[in-house]
Amino acid sequence: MQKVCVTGMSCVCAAGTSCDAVWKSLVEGSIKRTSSLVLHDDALPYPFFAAPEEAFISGRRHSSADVLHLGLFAAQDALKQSKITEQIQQHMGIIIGTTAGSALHFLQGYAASRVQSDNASRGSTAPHQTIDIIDYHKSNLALSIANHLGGLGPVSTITNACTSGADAIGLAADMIRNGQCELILCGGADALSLVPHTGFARLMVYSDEPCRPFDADRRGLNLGEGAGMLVLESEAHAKARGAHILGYIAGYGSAVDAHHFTAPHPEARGLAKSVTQALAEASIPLENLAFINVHGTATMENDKVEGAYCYGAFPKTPVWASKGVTGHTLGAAGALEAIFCLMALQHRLVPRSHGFINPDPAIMLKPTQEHTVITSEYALSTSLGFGGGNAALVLKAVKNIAEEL
Amino acid sequence: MLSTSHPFVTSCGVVGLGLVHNLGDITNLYTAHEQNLSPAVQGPLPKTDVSKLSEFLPKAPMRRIPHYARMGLLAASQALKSLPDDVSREDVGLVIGSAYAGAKMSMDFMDSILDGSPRLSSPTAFSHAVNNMGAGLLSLYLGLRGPCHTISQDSLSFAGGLEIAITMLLAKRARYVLLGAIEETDSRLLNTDKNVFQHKNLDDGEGAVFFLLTKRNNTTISLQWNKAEIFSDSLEENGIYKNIYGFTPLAQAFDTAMQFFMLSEGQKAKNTCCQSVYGRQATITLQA
Repeated sequence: MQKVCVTGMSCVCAAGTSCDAVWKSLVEGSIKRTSSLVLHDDALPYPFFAAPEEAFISGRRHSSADVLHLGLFAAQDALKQSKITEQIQQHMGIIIGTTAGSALHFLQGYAASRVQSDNASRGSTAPHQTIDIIDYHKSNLALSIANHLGGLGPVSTITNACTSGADAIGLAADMIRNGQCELILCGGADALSLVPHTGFARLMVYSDEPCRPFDADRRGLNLGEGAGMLVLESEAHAKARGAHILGYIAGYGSAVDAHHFTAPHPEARGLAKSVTQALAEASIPLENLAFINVHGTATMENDKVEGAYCYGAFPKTPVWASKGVTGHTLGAAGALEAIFCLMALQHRLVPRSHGFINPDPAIMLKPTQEHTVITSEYALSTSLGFGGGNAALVLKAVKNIAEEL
Repeated sequence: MLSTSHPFVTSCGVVGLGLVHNLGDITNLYTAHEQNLSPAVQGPLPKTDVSKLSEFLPKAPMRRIPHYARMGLLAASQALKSLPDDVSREDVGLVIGSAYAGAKMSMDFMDSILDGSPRLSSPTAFSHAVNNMGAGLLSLYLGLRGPCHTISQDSLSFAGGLEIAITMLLAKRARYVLLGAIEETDSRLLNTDKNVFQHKNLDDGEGAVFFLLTKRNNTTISLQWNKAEIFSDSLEENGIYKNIYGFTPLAQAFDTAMQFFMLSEGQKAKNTCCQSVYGRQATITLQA
């Protein structure tokens, strides 16, 4: 089987606008939450982890274009790092996940349309043009990035809710192994507007305090914004062009719970299946797993199911919950966290899990409470999604850490 | 039109088909084509009849799920009839291509914000408006436990879904994949687009199409990506038989279903080509 390697990666989120800046924040535990009033004067009072303003290429537009601009910001940086030629870039595939980016969230445009329809019924036909609905039709994530950056290969915008980013990476790796494309830009991006922010708040899963993954006193998630992009190619292709390899996608697994529309399976059926698939594909024994970056949203249900599964299946493996620094970035989360795993493998260090204080006796799992040095070269990243989806990725460091030590 | 093609063509086998449309199933759709009917341009279409869903699934739980998912369930159940008896549904993956997903619920949720306030908005509408709601409900009610993906990219949602379905089969992540396309019409969404774009040709077109795919079979479906020069900024109009189903992101899925039916009737199939406003094209070819 062809090895799939990473030759470019970039991330942007509340923790920073580059991999180096984000890593520094993850290690230091810098928490930068922003008032929801940035989104709208009527937004419910739940702060979120906003992406830095400089990452919005043309300023925050409160539309799908915000998702696209975060995606482009990270994509351009990742492609620059991969140092691919213009000719290769013209043939790349683009597989990107999002949640808000493809959803019908054009509230301003719809409100104006309602007014216009009312006016039309009274004989007035003054047309209106609102930015958000025009942006919606011009900002489909994968198609639009292909339009901006080139890319003649396969193009798919994955909308698997919170597993979108991880699935985009796993599917892109499969495509390369299958020989469907030689090089793929993949990852995930999401930005917030009033509609998704309100939706999550009304689902009663949103905490107005900083989120506390796996903590006994956790009160829910904090939403976040961001984008994580990776350039994947076969190892043979990368070596042939003399590319610098940053890490490997060693395994991927994906399975749906088919249990409940919104709640995860109580015994983590789909998660266990996807993790088993990913580890089998990577062909590694459990003791070679340096750490797990968990989904860890800090909602009651996710953490109960995921925490109990990880504690039972991997009792000795360090577990890192990183959303205390980034918030839950929805469709970007799986991609950002895959990059966090690769950075942790590069630095041979798993940061402490910010937000966690008191263990939950119903879960038993204690995520990392201090920075932990790692001595093996594999990491597992898990994602669980609305609708019962689960995805698992096994990331591998470039060098054999144990041998070097 | 100038275009450049991606050098790789991917393909897999087609085993079965399910189709739900205002006019009925694939036979009704083909007959409408033969008779040169054009219901889509005769005014608003009635809501697609999904009463036959009771032949496949119990009635009671179906009442609680949205029309969008019920159309998908009916078409998927029809396609699943071709699944060999010795194959477990654990080994069946699911891929849905949908531009707008649960349009009605999305508009309901925005209405609940505009008519009340964020504080009074409907959490139920929001949860059913998430793009992969259809995939979640189909996997739940059909007992599918393989990988499950939703692709949302305008008129190329079905083509993107086909690429992902082929990927899953080649990677042996599933022995069979249900690949579908679902869209529902909503007058509020239609009016919003009409008001903004002043576009006269936005006719209602809804329904669901599902194919049961496997790695190899007598009939193959293949996909090639192309890029065309963009000559205008307007919405693209795709679809060989759009006189029947109207202007809809389902066009390529409906066209492909028609080609599959025509092949099974011993006729020659045409290529279906769909172009997005971004200039990307996908050409789908069916061969017996």
